[in-house]
Amino acid sequence: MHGLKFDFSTNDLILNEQGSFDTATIDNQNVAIISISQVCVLTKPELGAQIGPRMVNRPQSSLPSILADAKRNAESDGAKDVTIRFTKDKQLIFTGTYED
Amino acid sequence: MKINPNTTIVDLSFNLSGSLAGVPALLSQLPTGERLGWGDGTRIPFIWEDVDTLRYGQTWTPTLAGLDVELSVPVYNTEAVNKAPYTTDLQDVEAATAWGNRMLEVLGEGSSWIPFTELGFIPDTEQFKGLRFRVFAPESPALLPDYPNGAWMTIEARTYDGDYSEEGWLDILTPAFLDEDRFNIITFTSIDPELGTDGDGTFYILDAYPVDIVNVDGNNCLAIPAGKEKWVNSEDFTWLPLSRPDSYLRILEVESWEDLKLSVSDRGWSFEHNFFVKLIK
Repeated sequence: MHGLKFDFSTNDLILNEQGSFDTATIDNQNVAIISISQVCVLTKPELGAQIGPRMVNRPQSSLPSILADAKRNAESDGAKDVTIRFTKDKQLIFTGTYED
Repeated sequence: MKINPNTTIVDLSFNLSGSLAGVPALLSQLPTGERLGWGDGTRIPFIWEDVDTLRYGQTWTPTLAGLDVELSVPVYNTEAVNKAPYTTDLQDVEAATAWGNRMLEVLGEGSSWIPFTELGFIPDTEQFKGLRFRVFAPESPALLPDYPNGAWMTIEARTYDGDYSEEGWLDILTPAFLDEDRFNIITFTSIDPELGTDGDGTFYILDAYPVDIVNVDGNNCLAIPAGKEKWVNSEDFTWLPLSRPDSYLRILEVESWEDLKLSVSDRGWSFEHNFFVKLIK
């Protein structure tokens, strides 16, 4: 799926040199946004797992269920082969594929 | 329904109707402001005030947080309603408040917190036999809800071979369960991922064992059972057991009530940490 590219470090869309919004393949980005947002789309408030605040100060044993909920959210949006996992340096990696 | 703090009109609409389409219905039912004026004689207008405009232009908007209001809104999206509650930032602090509430429970037990030195830990061990303590380390990730029976200490330890030529880092989160004249230590460790090779750097339980407070050569010490203490070889970061039959964590002098230092006798470890101690018996 092709769409607008989102910069998670600035929490905003990216402008290219021509002054228009940058685009990219956004399958993985969609999964990430669905996972971290409380409400992704105003017309579909049921979509969004908000994993950040739910993981604060929680025991490690509760993390898999929170990530599983995020995965279900992404799959309900049409994503396939969704994975959400921690890397060795404790970064979250979001992957998934959408049909064009 | 009661309107909670940190809830916007958007959150309220999502909570009750599952859609922004519920906003107009909500707005029509929320309390409106009342018009105010100065014409009742309770206030003298300022010199620059326009009297006619002021009489009909002021309103007082009620505080909605905590208000109990009768609201009736159609449900447009059942799935979205089931996801309630939607809040602005309240969920961000939910985990922190749970932690804080748990901390208050522990802090509220027993006597007031007193500095370590006032208990007379140095030099006589006899006076705290039969007493029970709870140790609190304010700067550590202490009092986690998973471990309700004790307070945690964060100990930073360095190893050296006697001439400070080798250094390794070991982060130990240790809840201290104190019973009479013994410390019960449950040790979790993780090796700094920049140095160690314990896999993914997660915490795991090494062991749980009681430790007696003893007097060794005139020093107050925590007696670690043989084989219970582990340390890291800083060259290849492998876990090596102690070869000594007995090991002691010597309680050093406390320079201030904020600073308790422990060291392993002639082993070269040093622990520095802030201690508060509370009598619970």
